[in-house]
Amino acid sequence: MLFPTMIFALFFLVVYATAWSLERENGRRKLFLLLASWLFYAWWDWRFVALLILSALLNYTAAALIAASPDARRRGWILALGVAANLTILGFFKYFDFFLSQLQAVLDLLHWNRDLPLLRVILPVGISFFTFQGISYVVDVWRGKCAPARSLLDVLLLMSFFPHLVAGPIVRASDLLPQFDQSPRLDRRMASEGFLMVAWGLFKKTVIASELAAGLVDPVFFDPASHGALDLLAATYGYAVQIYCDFSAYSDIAIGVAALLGYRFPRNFDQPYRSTSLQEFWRRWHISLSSWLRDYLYIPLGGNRAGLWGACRNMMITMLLGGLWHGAALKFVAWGGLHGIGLSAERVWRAYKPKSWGPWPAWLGLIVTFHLVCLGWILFRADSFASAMAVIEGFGRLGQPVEALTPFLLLMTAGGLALHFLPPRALEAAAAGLKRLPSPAAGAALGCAVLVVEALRPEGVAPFIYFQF
Amino acid sequence: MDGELHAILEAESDHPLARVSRFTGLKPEGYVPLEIQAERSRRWTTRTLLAATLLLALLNARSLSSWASTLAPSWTTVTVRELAEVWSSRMAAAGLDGPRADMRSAWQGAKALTWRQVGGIHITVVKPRKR
Repeated sequence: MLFPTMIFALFFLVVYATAWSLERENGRRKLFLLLASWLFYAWWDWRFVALLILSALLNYTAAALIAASPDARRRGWILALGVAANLTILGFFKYFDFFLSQLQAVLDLLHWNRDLPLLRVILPVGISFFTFQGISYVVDVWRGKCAPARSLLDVLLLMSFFPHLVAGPIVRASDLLPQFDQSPRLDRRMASEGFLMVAWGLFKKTVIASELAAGLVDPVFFDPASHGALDLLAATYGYAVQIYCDFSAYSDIAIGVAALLGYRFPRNFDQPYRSTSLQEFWRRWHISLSSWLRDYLYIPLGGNRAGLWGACRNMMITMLLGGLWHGAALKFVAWGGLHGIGLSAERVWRAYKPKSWGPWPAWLGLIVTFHLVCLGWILFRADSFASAMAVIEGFGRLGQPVEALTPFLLLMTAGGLALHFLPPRALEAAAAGLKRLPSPAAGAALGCAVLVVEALRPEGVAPFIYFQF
Repeated sequence: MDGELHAILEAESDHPLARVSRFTGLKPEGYVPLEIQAERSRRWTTRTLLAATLLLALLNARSLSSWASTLAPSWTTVTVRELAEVWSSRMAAAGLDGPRADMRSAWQGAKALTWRQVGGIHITVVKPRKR
């Protein structure tokens, strides 16, 4: 079930009405939300609901055993087993065929031909997100940052709650479990923000991202060799806007839907393309993943404590694994490696820069950072590593006429980038205005906003980019 | 209502106005308990949602019939489809699909613009004369 569809709208209206009618019975309310979340997931493939339940059972048991064990060494072992079990599930579904095909290639090189058992494993939607969420729950209980859940129902709902289930944000147990303890309360500000985030997310996904994908990015990246430099450059900028509008739209709608049900999710994007360094970019882009990688990978590896070069090594490992998390392909590893090198270079520059040199002007930092990020997006979007290289080579074909880029698509790209220079909390300010309106006026304003989206959007809707991860 | 309000005040015993109320025995005029605030907010949210849904049902009936036409045929879906089509045609007959259609047509026009048109160069197609 995709967010910007009629079936989801009907589903949400039923869930909203039923959940609030059960407001005084928190246990039944949570049970209802759990069943609704399973229905949401089963719409895609009912068989993987069992995987979701298995994963929640695993994490609930591991956390309960950690909390019950007085022996620190034993707690450490349970933690290791819990994390390993989560990674085994993720590894099997996501990386089994990838590693086997790499092994096959190595064996072929050695002239040792063997038919390895490729399983053509179907990747369950959202497995990377709910597995990371499960790991963070077990680790937080082990660290004492989060109390173990009071019931299995809470852990099942934590991992299955439909707004964040398939593409995040990765909501930590320490954020969500306390909210499950009592019936949520809704206030007008929260509801107004929820409405606006849903409408804004719909606009970004179905209008900007869809138009750019269909009109510019997909045709150019499908056959980069037949396009000139300007088309390739436009498609690269277009993809930067498309992936932002696509992924941040999912997060916005998820945050908005959760808010209308009375739950608060953390912000996941904060105008990332106005960053003046890669370090800042990762504080603004997919915040729930970057903070997850920092807390559960970079810091346990030693973080900054290992000195400058140790920190660079840890950064490289974190970003390479972050790249691999996105997909079992060389291009994602290269994308992670590019960011790792960039982040390490910034760190080294800060350490060794002559003191007489002042800081870079902000505009220069912004331009350099944006183009480094775009270089990464070429690797991310291209069908393969070789195809990404073909795009980069094509930047030399300056004489070829513009074919794919139209004035409309240029305006879409520029508009998507201009969104980053709106006031940072513009949506919250608009919500403050909406909440003061009487409900018929607020409803009319909301209805008009959705009508505009419906009038402009193309027929049908493509899945969100991050569903594949 | 007063009884309910005071019962809630008792439950929210940490609130400063609740403490003042206990101390002075005065009725807290300006204080609205959280429970009642939440109830009002919920009502406002539900009415807003209903108003938006109603507006969209009137002005965006076309989306409903487009969606219904994609459903796999069964007794239920065929019924839904026919209802959606009748509703959509009634709304169109009343002229309520106008705003959506106008916006869409302007948008399609913007999408079809070429660099020449933007640059002010108009190309006219001249039919060859018959001999």
